[in-house]
Order: sequence, then structure tokens, then C-alpha cells
Amino acid sequence: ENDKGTEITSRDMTFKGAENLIVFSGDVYVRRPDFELWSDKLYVYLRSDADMDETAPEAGEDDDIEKIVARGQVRIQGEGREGRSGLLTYYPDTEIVELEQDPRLIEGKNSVEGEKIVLNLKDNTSRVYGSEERRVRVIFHSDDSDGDGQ
Amino acid sequence: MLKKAFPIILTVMLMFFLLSIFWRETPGPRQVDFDQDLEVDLNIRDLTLVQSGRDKKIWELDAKQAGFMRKENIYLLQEPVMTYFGEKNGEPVEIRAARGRIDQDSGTLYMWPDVKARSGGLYTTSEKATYKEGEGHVLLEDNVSFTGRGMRVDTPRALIMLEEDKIVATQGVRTSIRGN
Repeated sequence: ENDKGTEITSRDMTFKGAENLIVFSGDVYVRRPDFELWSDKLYVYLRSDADMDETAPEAGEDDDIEKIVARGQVRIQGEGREGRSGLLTYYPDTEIVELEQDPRLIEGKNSVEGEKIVLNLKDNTSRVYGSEERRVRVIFHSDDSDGDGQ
Repeated sequence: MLKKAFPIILTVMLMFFLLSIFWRETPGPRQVDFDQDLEVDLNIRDLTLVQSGRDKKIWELDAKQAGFMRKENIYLLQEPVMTYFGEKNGEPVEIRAARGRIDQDSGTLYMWPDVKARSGGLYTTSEKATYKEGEGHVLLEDNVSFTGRGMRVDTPRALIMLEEDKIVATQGVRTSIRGN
């Protein structure tokens, strides 16, 4: 069990050593300790061309992930929330997730939309940015509307 | 009677013993110790084949032992090591296995089992590897896995691209990346 790292399954994968880049495509599913993610395509940018450990290649050097970019029908779930967008960028160092291209954040029955949504997984906060073309829109379901009459 | 015949028996046994040694060592048609025990026309120890182009070595194939079968026009290899230097001055790709076969007519090298490859900072293992002359990749099949760069990838099939530091895995891939 890779409890700290990232597990990814996909149909195809291309490793581009010179660009420190791994591209996954086809039913991509990502599982990390703090979230799960689904998308059409995923780009994992490795930080450095770490020196290979000649003696024990299996151990290998722990390459840090610089960032993860997901594209196409992106869905991320974690901490009881779900984010949806066309584009997602995740920075492991800061645990910041940026949702763009029709982003939407859903928590229970409530949801919020805007131009860009930024989630901070470290302190479990979120920030929504609007623009002229796309203002922030929040949909709240108060408990009364459930019609329990009290 | 036995006393008289003894020298003759001794001589025959000695000749038979010498003949069996002679038969095994000479390059004449004989069994090659491969799993199919095929008869070969030429048995070569420490084979080296080199392919060059435009004043540069493109690939080199070494094998601890090889048997050449003239009619089939194939080499059977023991412990082959294929090193591909490629066009750009990148790191060579090295692939080794327990057995191999060169099919000269189709210009194809087959390697199996226990295939181990090193390419662009990744170590790869698989059951089979196939390289066809002029194609810019090596096909790896059956239990393919890569490790290195803090990553492990498992897939049934993959291509090591020889002219660029690139590996393409298809038909279902499971990847785990350690680190942050």
C-alpha cells in the first residue's frame, strides 16, 4: 500500500524522461491519501532528473512531483466535497488545488460556481473567484426547505 | 583367453574415449545446449554483431554463445545483450535476457525470458522483447514493469522508444509514485 504517494491507473501512459513528464490517458483514476480524482488525461510533472541509485534500482530516488494537471471531465473528491471542472492543477508542496474551465464545488446539497475555485487541502478552506463574464454563484439549501415544518 | 584379448579391449575403449572428446569439441554439427537442443551449423563463442551507419555505431549485440542455422538463417543466442546507441548522443538503451534469436530474413531480434532493460533512468523487466531492424522502438511484452525516478509502472505491453528518452505503455497501466 502506497500510503504517502500517488496511485494512478489508466489505459495508456507515456514517460518522457527528457521533459520529466508522465502523461496518462484513457479513464484516468488517481488515488492519493487526501483525495481521489478522475479525468480523461493527466500530466504529472516530476521535479528533477534525480540520480538513479545504480545499486538498488528498485528503491530508486523519490522524485518529487512538481505538479499534477488533469484535463477533461475532471472530478475530485475528498473531505466530503466534490469539485468538477474542465481543468485542474494540483501542487503537492502547498496542497493547493486550482479548478478552472466551468469549475463547480459541491458540498452536500450546496454548490458554488465561478471563474476559478482554489481549494487548500491543508487547512480545508476554499476560495471562489468570479469575473465579468462569470460571476460567483452560490446555491444554498437551507434545512427548512426540506419541509419538516418546525 | 581373456589375458590375450585384454590389450585389444583396452585399445578399443581408449579409442572410443578419445573419439567422444573429439566429437564434443570440434565445430562439426552437434547439439547446442538450448532448451530445444537444436542442431546448428556453426557454434560461436562470444558473438558480437555491430550495426553502424554514417560513421557511428547504431547498435551492438553481444552473446555469450550463439548457434547459427544456415537453412533457417537464424542465430540462437545465449545471454544476449543488445545495446542501442541511437542517433542523438543520449544515454544508450541496454536490453539483456537469458535467450535470444535473430531472424536474419526479417531482421528481427527476439529476446526472452527474464528481459532486463535500462533506458533513460528507468529499469524495466518483462518476459519478452522484440526489436525489428529500422523500427525506432523495442516492444516489451508480458509482465512489463518499470522502476526508477521514484515511480513503479506495471503494464502488459510497452514500447521503449530508441531515438528519444521515452517509454509508451498501453493496454492498461498501473503506476505508483512515491514522494510528496
